Amino acid sequence: MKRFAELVGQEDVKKKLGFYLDAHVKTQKFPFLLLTGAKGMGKTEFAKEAARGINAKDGAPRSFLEINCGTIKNAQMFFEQVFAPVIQGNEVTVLLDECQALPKDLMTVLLSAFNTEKLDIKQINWRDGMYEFNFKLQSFMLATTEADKLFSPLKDRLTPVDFQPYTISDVAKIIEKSLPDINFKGDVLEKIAATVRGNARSAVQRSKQIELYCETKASKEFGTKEWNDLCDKIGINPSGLNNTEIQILRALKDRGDCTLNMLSAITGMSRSALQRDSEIFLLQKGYMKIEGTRKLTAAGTKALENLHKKA
Amino acid sequence: MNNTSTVTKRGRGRPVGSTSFVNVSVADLEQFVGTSSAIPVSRIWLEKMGLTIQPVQRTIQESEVESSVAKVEFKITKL
Repeated sequence: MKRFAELVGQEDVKKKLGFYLDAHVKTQKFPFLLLTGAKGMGKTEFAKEAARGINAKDGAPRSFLEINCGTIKNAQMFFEQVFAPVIQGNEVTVLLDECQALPKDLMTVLLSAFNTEKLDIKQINWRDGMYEFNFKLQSFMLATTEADKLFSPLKDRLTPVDFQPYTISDVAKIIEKSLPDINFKGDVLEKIAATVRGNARSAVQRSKQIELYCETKASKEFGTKEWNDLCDKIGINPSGLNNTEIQILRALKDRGDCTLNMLSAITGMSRSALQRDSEIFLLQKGYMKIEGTRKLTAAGTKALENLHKKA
Repeated sequence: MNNTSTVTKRGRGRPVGSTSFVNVSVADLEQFVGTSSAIPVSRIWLEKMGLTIQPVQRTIQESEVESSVAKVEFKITKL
């Protein structure tokens, strides 16, 4: 069966991971991967799917161990609670998720462990114990949304795999695949896909909302009329704009150009939260531009008009 | 510094003769308190007088310390 056949989009990622998996079959070597991309880009799903292609000695896929790095407070915790009982001596593919949150001492340990110099076994002395990484048995992948926060020397030891936002057509496929029993009419799938901001996780959430709507109506047909009804009921805005973003666009329309401080005062959100959570999407969509101050674009004006039409 | 100084430094302990209790006659006390008033007296003095006293019940309550050992979140999946 073709690798990653079940997963939609991320063609470059599929090619790259496919190459390393093929190489593993022949050489038993698998690089230390760093999966980077925004939330909902499919990093964990792709890591899990890649792990299916890494077989144990008995021919079956190795176990997949997913660790939330935000819960590791120090290297001792990692060795005592995870490494010694689950990893050491076992055939396992490890995903260190949100690896930017790894504690500094563990980053230093991994830095040393991943410096393999063509050796498959690396022994690490930590406090009173000696721990053994065996890269013939264990493969490591790290995933992060904030690669810039990762310890640079550690990042240099990793092979990057970058994830891209999903296209509208990819998102439409994800929604259609999630709801095989629903008959989507006309171009409604594209309209739905436009509201999930290129995010696969949001696409799955949207599918669940549609499924619930259809179950409530006892219908398997879903067209523009049903979509508009659902948008109205649960407050889905065109282009997936959230209320803060709409507030920003309205402020720029009503008051003219604004500074970040002014937008912060109007929305009640901090400057950094505005920049991180709202402005990036508005800039990506071309609804706003920054030329010293924040300015509304023609596309932004049109987006607001569409909102008013909806209202 | 003159170590032979006879000036007593403050805060160097209890001065000799300075005790917690003083002797007062019952007649003198009666001028201030009535016969039904409760007067705090030393347990040791009571014992010396041959009076038995109710021993204080000491109950030590161990405070329940919540186990707050941090756990690493991880999930293992058989593929």
